[in-house]
Parts: sequence; C-alpha cells; structure tokens
Amino acid sequence: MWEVASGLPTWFEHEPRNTFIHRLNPLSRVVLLFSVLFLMSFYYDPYYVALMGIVAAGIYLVARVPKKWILITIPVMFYRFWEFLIVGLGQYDPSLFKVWPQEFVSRVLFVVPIPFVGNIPMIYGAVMWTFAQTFHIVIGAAVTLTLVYSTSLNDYIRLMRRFKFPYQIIYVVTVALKFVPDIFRSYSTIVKAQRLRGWEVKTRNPIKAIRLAIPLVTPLSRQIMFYVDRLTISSQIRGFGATKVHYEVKLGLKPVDIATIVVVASLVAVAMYMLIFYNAGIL
Amino acid sequence: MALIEFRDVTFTHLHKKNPALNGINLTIDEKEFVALLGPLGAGKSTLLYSLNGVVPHLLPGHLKGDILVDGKNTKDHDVAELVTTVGLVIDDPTVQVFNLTVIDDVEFGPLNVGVPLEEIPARSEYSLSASRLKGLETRHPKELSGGQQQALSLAGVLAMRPKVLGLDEPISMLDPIGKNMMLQAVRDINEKFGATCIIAESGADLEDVMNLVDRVIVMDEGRILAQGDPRVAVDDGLLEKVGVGMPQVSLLFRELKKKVPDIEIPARLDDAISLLSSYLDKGIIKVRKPRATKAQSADVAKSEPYVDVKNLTFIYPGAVRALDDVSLQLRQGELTGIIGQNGSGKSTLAQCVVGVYKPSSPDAKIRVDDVDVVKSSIKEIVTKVNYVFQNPDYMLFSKDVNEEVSFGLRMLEYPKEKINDIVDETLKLLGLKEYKDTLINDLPRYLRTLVGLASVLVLRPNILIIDEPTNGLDRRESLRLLKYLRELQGKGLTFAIITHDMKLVSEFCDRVVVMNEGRILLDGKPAEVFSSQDQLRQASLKPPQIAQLAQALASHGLSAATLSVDDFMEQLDVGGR
Repeated sequence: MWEVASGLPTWFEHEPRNTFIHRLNPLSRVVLLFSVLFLMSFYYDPYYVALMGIVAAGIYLVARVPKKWILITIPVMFYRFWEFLIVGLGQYDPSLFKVWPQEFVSRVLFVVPIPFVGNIPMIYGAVMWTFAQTFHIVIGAAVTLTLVYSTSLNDYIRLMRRFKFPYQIIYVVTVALKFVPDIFRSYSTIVKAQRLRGWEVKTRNPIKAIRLAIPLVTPLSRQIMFYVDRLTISSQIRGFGATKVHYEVKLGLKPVDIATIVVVASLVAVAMYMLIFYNAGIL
Repeated sequence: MALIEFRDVTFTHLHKKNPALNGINLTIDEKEFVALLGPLGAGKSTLLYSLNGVVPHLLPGHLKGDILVDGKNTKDHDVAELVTTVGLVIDDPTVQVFNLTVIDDVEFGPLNVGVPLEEIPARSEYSLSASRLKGLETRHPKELSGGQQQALSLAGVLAMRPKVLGLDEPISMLDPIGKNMMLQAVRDINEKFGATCIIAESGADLEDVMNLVDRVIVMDEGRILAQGDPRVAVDDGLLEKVGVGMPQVSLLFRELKKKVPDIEIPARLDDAISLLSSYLDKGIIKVRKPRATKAQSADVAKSEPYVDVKNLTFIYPGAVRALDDVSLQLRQGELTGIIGQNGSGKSTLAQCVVGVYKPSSPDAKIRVDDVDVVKSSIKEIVTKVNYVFQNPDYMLFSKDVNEEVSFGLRMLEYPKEKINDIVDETLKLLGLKEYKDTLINDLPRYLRTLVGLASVLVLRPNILIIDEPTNGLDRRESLRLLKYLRELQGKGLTFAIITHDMKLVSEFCDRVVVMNEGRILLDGKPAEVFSSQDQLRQASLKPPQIAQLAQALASHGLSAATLSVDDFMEQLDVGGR
C-alpha cells in the first residue's frame, strides 16, 4: 500500500504554476536552460562563473522553485570540493593558465608535502579552477531543478516524440520523473516511523552510522522494489508502449517562445565567439 | 455472445506452489456489472489482471486453459494490445496517476496508444464527465480529495475507451463519500456508456458494492464457489464463511428470518428498507419503545486527560492549513475512533501529538502526561504516546520478529535482560510468541501488521494512535485485529484508531472524533455521532449501513442511534416474540 501524504509538498516534482518560465513552451525552456548549462561548462573565470550564477539564480527565482531544493547541492559540493582540490593540486604549472596574469595565477597559496613525490604547491590559478568547478555544481543543479519544477511529464513526452526519441528513453524519463518524488515521500515516512521507535543517529563513528542506516535503507529498498513492480504494471495498463506513435506533434511556439529562443541563441553565439576568439571566460 | 470467457483456467504464479486461479470457468456478458467477492488471496486480483494480459505477460507463471476477451485469446496478445479493450483501476490512485494536472493525466493513455491528436479532447471530455471531474482539469492531483483522485484513475482508463472496466478494490482507501462518488461514477459508466464492469472486493466495502452490482461471484483459494444474484451470496451465509462478512442488513434479516421464516434476506440497503417497511406497515413486525442505547450507557469521560491538545494549528509549507485551532483530550481507558474524509487532518493531528510535527501556532499547547510535547524531543515522548503508520512495511527491517520488536528498546538503551523480558511480554500480549524466530519476510500481511504494532507497543506508551490498522486486511482479519485491541484495552492499554471503516468504529469504539477541514466537527459517543446526520454529511461521512436503515425507518419509531444488529433487534417486536 502506498501512503499518500496528501497536501505535503514533495521534492523534485513539477508543479503547475503561472510563472514566466512555466508559461514558456517546453522547447524554449529547454533551449534557455541548456544554454546556461552549455556556457557554464566553458567558464572558469570567477567573473563569468559569477555571471552565470546570477543568471541561473534569476531563472530559479522567476520559476519560483522551492528554495530548499537547492540545499541538496550542499553535501554534493562539500564532497566534490575535496575531489576538485586534489585534481587542482595537479595543476601546479602556471603555464596551464593562459588568460589571467601569470604573476597572479602562479602565486602559491600553500604547499602540500606528498610522500615519494615531494612538495606540491597549490597555486592561485588552481584554486580558482577548484572553486569554479565546485560552483558549476550549484549552477547546474539550479538549472536542472528549474527544468524539473516547470516542466510536466506530458511536456517531456510531447517534446521527445517531436524529436523522435526512442520509446525506451521516453519510458525511462517518464518513470524516473514519477518515481523520484514518490520515493522521497516514502523515505520521509520511513524516517518518521523509525524515529517513533527511538531511532536517531548520534554517533560520529562511520561504521556505527552505516549500521544505523539499516532501519531506513531496508524498508526503503523493499518499498522501491514493490513500487517499481506496481509502477511497471501501472504504466503498462495506462497504455505505455502500446503502439509506436507516428503522428507529428506540433511544437506550438508562441511569439514569446520564438523571441526567447532567438535571444538565447544570439547570446550563446556571441558568448562562443568571445570564448573562441578572445578567451572570454577561461583562466 | 460472451464478452469475456474463461475456459478451465488455472494459473500458478512463478515460484508459488498453490494456484492463484484454479479451474475457473466463467462467462461475463456485455454491459454486465459483476462483483468478485472473496478474502485476501482468493484470486480476485489475479483474475482481473488476467483480463488485460498482465497475467501472464507481466506477472509470469504457468497458465493453463484459455481466456478470451472480446474474441482475443490473452495468451496471444500482450498488455499493450489489450489496454484498449480492458481498462484496469487499482486500489491506490497515487501509483496509477502519473501526471501533474488532471487533464494531462486523462490524456496520458490516449497519447500512449496513439489516438489521433484531434480526437483526444473529445475523449477527455467524455472521461471527465463520466468520472465527475469536469471543472477540475487544471488542478494538481494532490489538490483533489481521495475520491476525486481515484476518479481520476478511472478517467485516465476511460479515455482509452475500454469495453471492460476492471476495478481492483478501487474504494478501499477512500472516505465514505469518496467511495460513494467513485461507485456512482462507475455505475454511470456501466449504465450510460455500456461498459462491462468487474469490481473486486474483500469485505470492508461490501455493503457499498452490493448496492450496485447485477451479479456476484464468490471466490476462495482460486476457485469460484458461487455466482448469481447478490442474494445468492447472503442466503446461506456463504460470504461469512469465506471471511468477507455479510452486509449488516443481511445479518439483521437473517435474525428476523428465525422468527419470520418466509422473510427474504436482502443484500442491498434499498431492498431492506422497502422489505422491512412493508412488514412494519402490515404489523407483522412492530417497533418497541426505543431502548437505552450506548449513548446513555458507557461513561468514560470523567478521568483526567492523558493527552491534552489546545489551540493547535498546523500549516504545511506552501500554506496548506492542515489543522485549524484544534483542541482535543484523550483519556486512558478509552478506545477512540478518529474519522474524517481524506485530507481532513487526522494523521497530521496524530503526528503533532507524538511530536513529529511542531505546531505552527505559537499559543498551541500539547501536553502528554507531564511532558510538554512542543518543547520535547520525540525520544522523550515515544514512551508516553506513540503512533503506528498504516503500512507496517515502513517500519519492518530486521531478520526475524524478535530482533524487530526489540529494536526500539535497544535504541533507548534498555539493559539486555530487561529487553528480553519486555519483548517476551509484548509478543505474548499480541499472540506472537510462536512467531518469535520467524523471518519477517515469511509473515503474511495480518501478522506483519501485528509485528508493526508490537514493535511500537514494546516502548510501553500509555496511549497508542494507530493509523488505518485494517488497511490491506480483509473483513475477517480486521475483526480479529479490533477484537485484539479491545482485549488489550481491557489489560490497561489505550488506543486511538484513525479509520474510514464506520462499521468497525461503531462496533468497537467508546468515543468518536470527527474531523473536517482541519477542525474537530463532532466528538462524542458513537451513537451520538452517527445520529448527527447533517454534520456527518458536512464531513463527507455516512453512518454504518444498519444505522442508515434505522434512520430511513425513523418514522416507524426506530432510533437513529442504532449501531448494531443487536441494537436493531432489541427495538423490534416480531409477532409478539
């Protein structure tokens, strides 16, 4: 039995709202959001990363995505920061940085003694690269969450059909978009049920902490398996995969959508031109 | 010609010994409305799932015999080919509803099966009208009541224009008015749109289902035991024998038949009203002076409250006001039933009482014994008052019963010897001693429910609030569980149950709290509450069937506070006997 937490907000689920982002055609929305992701992947210069951050935050706020959703990036950022820092250590050669002044990027922040290798300097250029990589996670998450929040399941299906995505991919996307929020609901109930049996994590010992996760993980895994079974049957009885759809889905772009696509495409073109010919955005 | 035909069908699920369907021979004609009645595990769901090829194409197993639906042998056609012939509605709308607006979800099926785009709006219109969801097209399914959510599942299936509509316990999770709304929608679809409807039911909603169907098929252990007019199933008490229970009006007339042998036993409320009315008019049966009902008897509201809630308001993020200035007291020694429609705030109230949610109102006070819940941690509260979620599988994680039940005590760092003693005592109390070393995964649903209860009861809370304890159980198991709770109450434990089962509340509870839109609408003894017809209607509730019969015949002098067959019989004078 799947318990309905009626009225409870859930995580990572589309909500029909009347924001500018919601009103856009799904194609314009995808173009807008993917453009941010695309440009972000080239930008390491702190000014440009900050600019993309402001754009992503603006879109996030305009779409009125629940603010707490973005908090999910904190543990990911924390974990990956150390990973990027280690990779950053490998970039101790200032000549790797072509744009920023060498006298700045080559300044040593600290030195890490590594056995059998020697002292490795952490230079300013590498630190900027590390922070840019870490900040990319927040921008990427903000944009992805905006897409999830503002786009309904049927929007994805129509769009993917329009661009002739294989049926299997459409199926996976559909199920994933329904599955994630439902599993969050289930997880929240399991945590509450176990807390009422006295469960709490009050240890810093990682082995004990893993053992204490068993009362959550086991029921959740069982729920997931049960749910996947039911979801498979449910999707099939709703006709999923019943036939190959041959008709052409019209995009139905409105003037505002066309304007959005044109503006975004122009900005991306300018940004790419600046990037390629003037190294704008790289370190 | 039959629309559906089972020819000597036996089906055994993969890795199971006993067949789920055993030698089924059955025909169902076009436009029929049929009920499949039987306890859990009788084979009802398997029979429904075999109509659209889920059995054996998605749920594999060994299938013998042939199932023909609209001339197609389901062995040769998979689910994808059969969905436009057989639509299936399952018990839980949250699984079946995929989309985030009503209209998106209704269009989901037609889009999938490749209905031309220009035809889809007409289909949506038809489905929304038939399911009584017109005007709600842009609403999020979460904003709908339970009944409307299930109606949305129905609309989504209807939009594919199936000839057969299979409904697997479609109203089990709904409040009484939600049940009514859903069943009326199905009835309309059968009568106005000519769909063949087959509904599976295991007891809790027997009365509602019997009111609608043309034919019943009684099943047990994969076999068909009887089929025919609904009266067939109640005449010789077959439904009671298989554990589904009997409609209350049938039980009443069975008692009357002992004194008036030629009286028929009706299966439906309407038939019972007209039948008893005619006997009362003819003077064959007379009404005695109303006797003292439970309303005048039990008196439990004198002791000090153990749980004292004052001015509790709770608002979910997103400004959903779940509780609005609620004040409630729970006393030890009471078995309280908390009822109300889906989303009325019952579970939220319970979770505030046990400290899972903290009140949104600054002046709210929640005291449990000497503990201020608002300022305390959950750990300080769990041994005073606790709450059991409706699905035991949200809790159970251990290998065996002993380990599972002892978990709470280990978390509270009780000494080992004490843990063993308390666990043994709790298992004994719930009749689970013999299952102490049984693996959790080997337990049937009823025992898992009891283990879930034991694993909270082991913390020895003075009051335990149980959310839908009978959900997922058939009538026989539900009665067993409630009788258990009654016995435990006699041993000093106190329970409050949140439920939609009005029959159980009227039979077992000392006190009933009715919630509506986050407020307490009624609070009193069952007889008082169930005779407050206007307020019950306001809360989208209705009294149990026997009370409805008494209320319909109130002009003959029957008490509106009648709650059981015994109460009813006490008021009747049958031929001077």
